[in-house]
Amino acid sequence: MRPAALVLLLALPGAARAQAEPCVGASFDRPLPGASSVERRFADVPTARYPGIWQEGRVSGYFYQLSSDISGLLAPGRAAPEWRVTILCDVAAGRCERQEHGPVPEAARPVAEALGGCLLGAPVAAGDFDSGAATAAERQGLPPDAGLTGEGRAIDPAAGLATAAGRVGARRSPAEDAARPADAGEGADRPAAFRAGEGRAGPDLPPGAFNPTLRPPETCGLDAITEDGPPVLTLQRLLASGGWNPGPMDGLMGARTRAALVEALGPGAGDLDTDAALDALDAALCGA
Amino acid sequence: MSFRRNLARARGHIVFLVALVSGLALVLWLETLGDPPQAAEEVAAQATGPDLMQPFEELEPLPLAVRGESSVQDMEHARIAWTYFENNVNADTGLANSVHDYPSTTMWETGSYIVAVLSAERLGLIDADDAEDRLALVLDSLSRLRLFEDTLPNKAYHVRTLELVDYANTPSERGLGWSALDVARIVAAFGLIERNHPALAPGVEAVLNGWDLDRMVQDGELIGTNVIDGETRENQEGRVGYEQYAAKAMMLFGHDAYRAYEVEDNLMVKRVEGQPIPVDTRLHRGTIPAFVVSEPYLFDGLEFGFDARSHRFATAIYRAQEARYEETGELTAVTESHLNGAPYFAYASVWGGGDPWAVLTFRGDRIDDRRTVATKAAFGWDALFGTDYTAQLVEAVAAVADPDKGFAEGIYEAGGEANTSTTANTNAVVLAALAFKAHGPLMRQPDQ
Repeated sequence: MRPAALVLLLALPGAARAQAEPCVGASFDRPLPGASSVERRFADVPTARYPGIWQEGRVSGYFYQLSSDISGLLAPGRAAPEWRVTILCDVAAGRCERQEHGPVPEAARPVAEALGGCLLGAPVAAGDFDSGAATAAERQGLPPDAGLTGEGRAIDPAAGLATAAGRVGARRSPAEDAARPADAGEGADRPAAFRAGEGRAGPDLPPGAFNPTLRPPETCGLDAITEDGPPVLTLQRLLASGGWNPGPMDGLMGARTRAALVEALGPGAGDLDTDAALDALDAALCGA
Repeated sequence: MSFRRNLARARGHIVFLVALVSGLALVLWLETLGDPPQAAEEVAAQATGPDLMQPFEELEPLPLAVRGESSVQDMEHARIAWTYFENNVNADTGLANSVHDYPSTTMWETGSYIVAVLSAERLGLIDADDAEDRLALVLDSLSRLRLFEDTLPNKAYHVRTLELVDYANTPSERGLGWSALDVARIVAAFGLIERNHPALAPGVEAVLNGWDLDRMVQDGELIGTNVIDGETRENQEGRVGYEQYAAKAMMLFGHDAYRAYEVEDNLMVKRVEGQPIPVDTRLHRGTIPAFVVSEPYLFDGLEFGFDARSHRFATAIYRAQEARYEETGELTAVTESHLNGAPYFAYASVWGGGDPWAVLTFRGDRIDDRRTVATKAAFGWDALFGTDYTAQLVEAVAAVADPDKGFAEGIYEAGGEANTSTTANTNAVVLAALAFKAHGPLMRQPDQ
């Protein structure tokens, strides 16, 4: 009896581990710590192996699912995510396998790991899903001394944006600020939250970057016609769109088509093959 | 025949009359039997308590000053304000920088840009096709934004890349949450688009179909979110003034923001320069006592057109500012403003933080020396009420007009220096004000 009792005693921790319930409860009805929009859902599944219960919600900015077959999912959203991490756990072995699909961001990996821990029954806290930023201010992109002293302190977006923009601008040109106290806004107005060479309006930008007229340019050349059918037919359409008369639209390189081509592109154009003629005429029509 | 004998003879009649009176008393008692006791107390309290709206009922609203035309000076000012958007709209995304040369924006400022486009169209600065193209591009970009938790727009976005960002314009995976007031502001602008360009209504609906607006209107209140300790937390948003403007916007699209539209539950009346000022009894964002600025009333009047209540509130808030000028000689047109030096943003109030005319940072610190004669308040009040005093305000802030850049935020009261920050919000309000002068509120058919 004594060896049997010893075996039973040794097996107990393993049994306890195998029976440890996920951090969201055995019924998946306890919200994941730190999660929001949490819902417990179920599906009528015709198998006794999977009870069809899962919990889903948002944690650390990601969409998650924890299913009662001790698997999980992490993705940026529910519908057609561009990446996802599938978490498959083996409770008996006490470990989870993570399968990544698509460009999974680095910040998502610790979150997926914490989800695995939850499924295995490890204690999980909201801090396990934290991004790691040091302070409330830093989390919002504000300087540490901006005055956002507590996590619970919210800020108007307009004030937050003005503060971040102003601080960055002042850091960028403190000398200018000091030299022109009456016009310190030149620093604040031109903050450097963007890298050099981008975002700046004015003469530094290529012409048209801030063109007040936002309409797309008029289409021209091949973009302005239908290109189905044989190449010669396309050439004839292109000639017609430019005001030349290629004769009937028959897809054949006849005398009138060739004459129209010469009229459009000059004396040597009659010897061009069809593709070269198309390219030359397209360039001519679009002013290239 | 004794009285006693007669009484005995009439006993049948007496019993009948007593039964009749008893029956009446029983009926009256049964009528009120089911009433909860607190309802009765409320009735009593209402009968005896102060009527918070009484000071405003007694107030004669100032007449609106729609002129029906634009002066040469108006058009010059409009062209200068429009310069801001010529310089700061990204051609690819169609969104406008919220601050000059700072490629970041919020839903509030994107709403301001929409208002600017519609106003510029009414003023003839751009034609209808140009306006429609600009608005269509904005709607297309909005439809492509990554939302905070797949629900509603984040508090900030990169203008060029449309990335979800933090306030430093750095891409953020998690985001900041959504601001119910900011979302309501752009919903108001959507209403203006549908009213002025019905052809764009499908584009507006396509954007709204992707937004879960039910999450931000709960039990009649406006609900925003913040990320705190790694968790997304919901909080009621909006205080008297901003809250009613936002509620009106949400009601345009059928969202029942009835508690947000109500003011009396959270109203106290403070006297400033003899005027009754409507102040919220709650803290602003749980931090500092609520404050009263001109901004929400300007937006309401210029865009929707006042209702009877907001017209009276706005009248009192404007008159207090005029009265301060008459008393001190200091031109007064106060609202929230960017600052061109630390702390970069201030709420210049009519009443705030316990005192009249307090200027507060978002932490609640007093910075009264940063009080600005605000360009947007000057133009806004001048458009709405058109008094001799508002004409003086406009004349004063015309000094901060930069033909190459647009209007700056205003002039510091202390020292008279220019507050040179230049923003989408201020220039949009200038355009909306000038459009109002000529045509009335943007939500209504333009006066011809």
